[in-house]
Amino acid sequence: MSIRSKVFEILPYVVLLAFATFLYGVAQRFVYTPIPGQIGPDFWPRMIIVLLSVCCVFEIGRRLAFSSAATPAPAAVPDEDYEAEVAPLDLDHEQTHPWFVIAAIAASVLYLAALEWTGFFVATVVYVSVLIWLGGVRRLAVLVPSGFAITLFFLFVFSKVIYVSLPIGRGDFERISLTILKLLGVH
Amino acid sequence: MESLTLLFQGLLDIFQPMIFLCLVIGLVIGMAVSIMPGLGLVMGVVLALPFTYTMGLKESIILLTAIYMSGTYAGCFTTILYRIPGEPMDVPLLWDGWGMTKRGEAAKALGWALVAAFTGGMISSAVMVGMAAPLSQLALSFGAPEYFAAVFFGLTTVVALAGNSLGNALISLFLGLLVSTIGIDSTYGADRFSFGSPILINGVPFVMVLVGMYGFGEILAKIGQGASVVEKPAPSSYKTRFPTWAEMWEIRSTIVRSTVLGTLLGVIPGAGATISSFVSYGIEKQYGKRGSQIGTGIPEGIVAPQIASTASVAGHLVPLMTLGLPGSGATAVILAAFLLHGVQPGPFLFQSPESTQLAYTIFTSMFVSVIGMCLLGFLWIRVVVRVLMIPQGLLVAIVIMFALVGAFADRNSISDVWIVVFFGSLAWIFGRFNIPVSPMVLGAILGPIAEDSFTRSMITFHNDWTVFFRQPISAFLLVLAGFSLLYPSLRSILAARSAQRLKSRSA
Repeated sequence: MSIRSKVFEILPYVVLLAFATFLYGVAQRFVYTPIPGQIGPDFWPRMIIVLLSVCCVFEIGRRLAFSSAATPAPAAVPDEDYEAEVAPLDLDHEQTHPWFVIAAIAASVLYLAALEWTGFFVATVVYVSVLIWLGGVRRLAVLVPSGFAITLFFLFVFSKVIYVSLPIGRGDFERISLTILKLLGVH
Repeated sequence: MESLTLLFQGLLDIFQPMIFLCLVIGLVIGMAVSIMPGLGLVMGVVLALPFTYTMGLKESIILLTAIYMSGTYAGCFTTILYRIPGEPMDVPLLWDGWGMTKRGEAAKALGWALVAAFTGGMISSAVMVGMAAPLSQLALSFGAPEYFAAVFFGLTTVVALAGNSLGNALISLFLGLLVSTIGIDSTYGADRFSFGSPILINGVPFVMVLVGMYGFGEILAKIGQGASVVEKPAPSSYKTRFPTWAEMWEIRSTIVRSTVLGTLLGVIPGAGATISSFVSYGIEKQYGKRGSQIGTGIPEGIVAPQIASTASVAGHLVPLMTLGLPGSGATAVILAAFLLHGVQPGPFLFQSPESTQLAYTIFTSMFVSVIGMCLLGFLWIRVVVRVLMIPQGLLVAIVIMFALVGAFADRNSISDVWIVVFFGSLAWIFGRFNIPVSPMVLGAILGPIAEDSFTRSMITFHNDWTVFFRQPISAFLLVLAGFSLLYPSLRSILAARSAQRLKSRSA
């Protein structure tokens, strides 16, 4: 195994260990009125952080000591028949399109950031269309109407049936949202 | 006798129009989500939660338990007819179910699956009713150390059964427990890990962790797999042909064994329907009368996993209803629905006549759900399998919107939606590094109960940690917890030894 791949393997545990160390420091500075003879609010989180750190150190050590990180599977995990039978059915869980996932996360972050400003309707039409595209539907004739239909469905169900006050946006977007809500019979 | 009266009253309650409608809707949703590969019954229960905000308690719990129950059954249709397991729990069904379909016995295979789901569901529900009252009496004697030991046992079983690496499972669990400590501490009022953020000061609601990791996260993983078109071979028939009484009598030991196993595994926190299904299949293969033929397309290979997975549902509800401890993602959502309506499940649920009746109405709904899902499966199988034809892109968008808008609807707070996106993304990253998600989710759910009972034990017994080993029930539970942590290592040692023995014998 190359040094690069080994570094990549232990990197998450190193990051977690550093994070745990930072949290331990934070836990030591909790502000509270100590009661003599009692463990205080920092004992439980500190105990967990120590255990987390021990696990990280163990995993780093194990990965440095052995060439492969694989360990035998515990009970109730499908055996090799599972692979043989299921793999041809396209049900393997290989992440062949990680960039699509990153795009979906980025779209979600942008959607949430824009929601207050654009309101639910406008932001959701765009967001849903992007998700449908990322999910594999590429025909515009399906994508855009589906985006509108799904948005209107959610707007109707959550505003009219469950009485959730969804964001309506600001300025022109507010006017668009109110018009749509009026058309759906939501007052 | 009193139980029968309560069950009868429960039956009358269930046939009230609104409650009955919720039950039927729950059954249909459960079937739909369990058929779609990539969606699951936990996701179905999670996504239905926002709709319960405006419902009564009975309607909410019955809707969610119906989804949970039928979610363990409908996956068998696509597994047997199309060789597409809707959920991991359906994979064992594939080997014998598809084997029978290949021989032109699909109708018979569907009949066996229906009989198995019916038997497992009914018997385990009856066991649940029988166990609930005595267990709740026992639970009344539980003090803080016993509660801590029970939660600790639950967490260790989740870790032991969660994945390929014990270290990774423990890391996931500790991260979940840490998440549960965020916000104002309930005992001392100290602000912990909120870093002054108004989003974090009230803590991270475990429902958002659940929605994020099981709902949003799973859909991200589905996007990552790319658009897959499932080509369905045309099945010979959608008909269901029931086995004869004589055929059922022939495999009576399989039926009894799998029902007992499914119910018992259901009671253990962490061992959900998937584990019950695999363990039952494995036990049948090892100890069944026709164990060597399992995998070639025989009824025992369908009956054992299907009974166990359906039986585990009632098993899971036992600790929730009697101890207030959710042992799985789905029961955690049901707990959330209880709490949203201001009711804490646990031993006190069986103390007042009104709440006892509520508990028995829920129990009765389990029996009705089993009958309902079998009827729906029998009559509407052709309609139900059409769910597979929904394009993946639309499904992705719909599920994500349910997750996000559902999270927003809980407290009308956009902060909750940010939390969902964060934990969903984290779940996907976990998947990339082979870190199991379920220990973290259960850690976030059970963390507050674990910490509270631990802190109360320490305060009550003056920081004497030996109290956990001096109380008989907590000592017993801690021994079980120790065993469940050691079990994966023991199993691999034993497997290595037997492999070595076989090797030396063949040499």
